[in-house]
Amino acid sequence: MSIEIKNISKSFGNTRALDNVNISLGDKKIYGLLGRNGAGKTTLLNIITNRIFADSGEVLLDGIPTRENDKALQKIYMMGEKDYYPLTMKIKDIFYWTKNFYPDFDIEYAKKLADIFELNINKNVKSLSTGYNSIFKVIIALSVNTPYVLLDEPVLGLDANHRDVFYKLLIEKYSNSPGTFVISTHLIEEVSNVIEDVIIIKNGTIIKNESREDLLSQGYTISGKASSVDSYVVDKNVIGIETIGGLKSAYILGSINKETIPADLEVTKLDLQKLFVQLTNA
Amino acid sequence: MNIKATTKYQLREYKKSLGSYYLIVLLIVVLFTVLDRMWGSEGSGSYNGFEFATIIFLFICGLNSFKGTFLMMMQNGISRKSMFIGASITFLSVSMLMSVIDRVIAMVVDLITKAIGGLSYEGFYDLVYSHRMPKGILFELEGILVTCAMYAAAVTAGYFITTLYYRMNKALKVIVSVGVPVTIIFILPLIDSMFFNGIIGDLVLKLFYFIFGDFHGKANPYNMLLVCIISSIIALGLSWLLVKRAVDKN
Amino acid sequence: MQINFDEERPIYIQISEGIEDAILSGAFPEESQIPSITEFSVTYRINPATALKGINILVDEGILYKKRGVGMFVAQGAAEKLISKRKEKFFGNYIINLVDEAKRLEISKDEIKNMIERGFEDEHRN
Repeated sequence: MSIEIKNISKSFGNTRALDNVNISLGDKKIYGLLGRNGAGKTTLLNIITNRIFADSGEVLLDGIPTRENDKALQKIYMMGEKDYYPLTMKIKDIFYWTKNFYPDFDIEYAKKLADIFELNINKNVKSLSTGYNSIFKVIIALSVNTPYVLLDEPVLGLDANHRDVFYKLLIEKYSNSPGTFVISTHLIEEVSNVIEDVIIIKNGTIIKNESREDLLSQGYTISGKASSVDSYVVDKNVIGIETIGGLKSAYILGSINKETIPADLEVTKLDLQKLFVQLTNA
Repeated sequence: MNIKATTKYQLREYKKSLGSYYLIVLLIVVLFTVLDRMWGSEGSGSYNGFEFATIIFLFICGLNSFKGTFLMMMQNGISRKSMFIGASITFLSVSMLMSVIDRVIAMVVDLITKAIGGLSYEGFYDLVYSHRMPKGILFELEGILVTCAMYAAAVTAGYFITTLYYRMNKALKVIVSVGVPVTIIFILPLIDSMFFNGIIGDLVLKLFYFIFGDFHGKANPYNMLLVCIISSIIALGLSWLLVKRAVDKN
Repeated sequence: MQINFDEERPIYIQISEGIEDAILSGAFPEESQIPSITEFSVTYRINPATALKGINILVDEGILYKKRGVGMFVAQGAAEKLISKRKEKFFGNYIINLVDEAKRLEISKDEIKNMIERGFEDEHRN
């Protein structure tokens, strides 16, 4: 039970959007598909869902190519940033039609979520703010009950309270009926505790693909007086450095040998946000 | 399963437009009748041919049938193939439904006007092909069949044009929008007269006669039927080639 | 049970330590049921796998045990076990460092003892 992305490449004109991407999404995990704007996240999701075609490679869902395949496509729901629903359609009618296409869509649950988010389902898409435009799609994604749910920038335009509600509902949904969720975002800090596996994409190439724990345990942060940090990191694999006044923090890949760390330096774990920034800096 | 779902959705788009369209038709019929009663044409006046309005209506429907539906289908995990089959079924059903409705309207309005006097109404089929046989069930069925084919040709032509425009980039759109009319109106006649001694013009005229007869009351509706069916098939075939490779441009 | 996540330590460690604290404070008495994985993950907005990992550490140590189909319970003698575990840790974390630093500063054993006395007596200390 998985989506296999095999040797996918895609160019737009002279721009290489995806370069030989190979990943597997499944095992009922929550994935974070992380990348800066324009890294290729949406392109990849659009290829998985048959919205655009890859130049080469293929996407298999449980062994069947998703390209032009209703059976496979019906197992995936993708919420995107852009408008795919008719702008003049009311949200309640969108719910009705979603049920038409995805028979497992739970309209009652969707209405309940609409109440929680205070979304008026008698409004049409056009009249929604950016935040509510994300919210109604998030609601569908959480109620659609497909084995694979792809969320492209789900919290776009949501205020802090609604973001918090979203993460809570997502975890609740995931705990009660586990499925494979893929959250594509460039806002890493908020999702870092929610996701189990991390896929980092940079300029159309996958540069990291492993569990968050593994990724974060591959390195550490060391901070203290600049001169001490400088002398400590000489023979280390430093992926980034931050300086504030005379203090320095260095992000290091590799295992810690506690004995060799000078007493005046402090060791902390890597955090995903910082690691991401360092890894995806040009 | 999915073809059923997408067809249901695509038919829905027509439901509303059809309702408004026939409401307007009804209003016009009432308006004409009332006006006639008020001023009185003493039975000499007549009006005809809602079918031409339907043809234009369906052509415009065809033009509006691609982009919104395509995005909605992409959102809902429907392949281009299922969507296209759904569209074809929709076009056929709507053409059939409207040709039946239009025939019924022609008959009913005819009956009413005969009963209360005043204006008379003739449907397109009565107008062009009434020489063929006395009115009766066979005549009406033939009328439905031929108008249905005409409607299908209109809606599929609209669909083809809209899918063509969807696939073209901006520059190409401008070139085609300007180029095609200019070619048909100016360049083609010029080339025709310069290089082909008007053969192309003759062929066009012959096709016209083939479809509508030569205005001596000898039009053969089956010629019209044949041309409309071929035109629909070609339009659908070309549309499929365009839809097959259409991608989300969002 | 209250956890204020910090950036330094992995979340699952903080979860397991949060449960330990709750057991030690009596918030989760022995033989009582603790919140489910779902409750933990929903409350703290963390992946259920992370919560599970934190809880499993305590299961492995015999602090918690599973009742099939019911949930997680605090084991008999869990508090005692935790106290001795924490004492070990206390020695490792504080005493070793204390002695090392004292040697660097040339503080004598008696001086340290006096300091500790002072620490216990100081009413204004938090």
